[in-house]
Amino acid sequence: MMHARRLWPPPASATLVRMPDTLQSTTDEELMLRYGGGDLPSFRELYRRHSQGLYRFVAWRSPRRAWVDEIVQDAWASLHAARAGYQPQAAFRTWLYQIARNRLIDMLRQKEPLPLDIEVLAEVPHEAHTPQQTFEQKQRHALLHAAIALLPVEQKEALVLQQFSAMSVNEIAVVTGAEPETVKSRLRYAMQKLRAQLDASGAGGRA
Amino acid sequence: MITDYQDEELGALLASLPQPSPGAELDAAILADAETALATPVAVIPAAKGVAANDSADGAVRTLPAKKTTDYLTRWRIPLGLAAAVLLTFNLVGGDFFGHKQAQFPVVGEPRDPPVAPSEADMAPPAPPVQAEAMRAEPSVRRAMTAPAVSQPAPMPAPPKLDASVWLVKIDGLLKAGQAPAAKQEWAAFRQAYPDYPVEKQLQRQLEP
Repeated sequence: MMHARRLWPPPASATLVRMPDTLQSTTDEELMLRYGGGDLPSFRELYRRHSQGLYRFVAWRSPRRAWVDEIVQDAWASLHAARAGYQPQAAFRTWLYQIARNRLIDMLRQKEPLPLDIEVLAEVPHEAHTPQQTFEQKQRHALLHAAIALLPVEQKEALVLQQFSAMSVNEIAVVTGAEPETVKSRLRYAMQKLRAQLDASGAGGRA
Repeated sequence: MITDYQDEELGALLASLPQPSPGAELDAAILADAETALATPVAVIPAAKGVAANDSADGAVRTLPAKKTTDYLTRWRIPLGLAAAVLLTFNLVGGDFFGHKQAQFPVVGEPRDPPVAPSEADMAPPAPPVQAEAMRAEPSVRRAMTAPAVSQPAPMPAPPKLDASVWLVKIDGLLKAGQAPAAKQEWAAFRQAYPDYPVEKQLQRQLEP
């Protein structure tokens, strides 16, 4: 079974060109500065690094599936617009996630929110049918998906950023504007609730 | 180090969850946006000003409209209105309503004037000639016409004038002053008010024949 940390960095999308090794060893902040200076390959490398994680974050956090692409595209567009004035005072990744998060909050304010992630919950990403995937595993995935969707927004946000975007507690604190101790509490409650849900359903796997 | 918010088994299960990913069209659109952005010059935002995470996507700097400063009259409009309303109400209703009328306390030893029940004639408004004639002509009509106007409760018995002991001292004083008729008059009133009050026999003999 694969651990969350091994998902990072995500594999490059098929549409993305493989970057030179020099770019791969460059920091995000330096790439952003280069992109601000007009270097398109630097942007491509940034996108390769963060497109998956950002998309996951927005997809799990957004109450509507239809909003996800729009929010993600807007976030990257904001990056284009702000590239010339970019100052590497904060980590690039947290800055990018903040942009997407604020865009999502704007949309939630403008449009009527749904009480639950009904649409996202209904659209569980398609799982490839492999011999290793048993019926029990699919059942556990469905249960887990539903349990995550039922978490309070702050707890779900912290959980998604940690588990699906591989962020540290301090990075989550920066993105969400909360204290690190608060983030830890949210993560603790989220994990406890998920564990309780799985144990109650008998799919937790614990003896 | 495994902290209380980490659960390796649950973490592994979460990691195995299928995840959404951006489609090829979205990738292409975002990369095309980047190329377009590089092809078009952009207004440089001063570095010292910084860029907020929720700056507009088109780079246009939008600011909130300047807050209108409130002048003196606007700021004090509500308090002044309230004060004027209170003052006007006070003047219209009168100070007595708010308890400004001075309380009157009876003086000990001083007989209070018994409340004089207003007579029917005093209470009734001046009747027009026709009404006055009706009052003279028919007693039942008179009662019907005056009763609602008076609407007074039944007259209560007059309260005792003085405390009995004080009254007796007063009567004794009148006798000693040689004012026997006045003393006897007071005695009659006293007996009416306090028929069973024990009185010294010597004083009683002086007053009763």
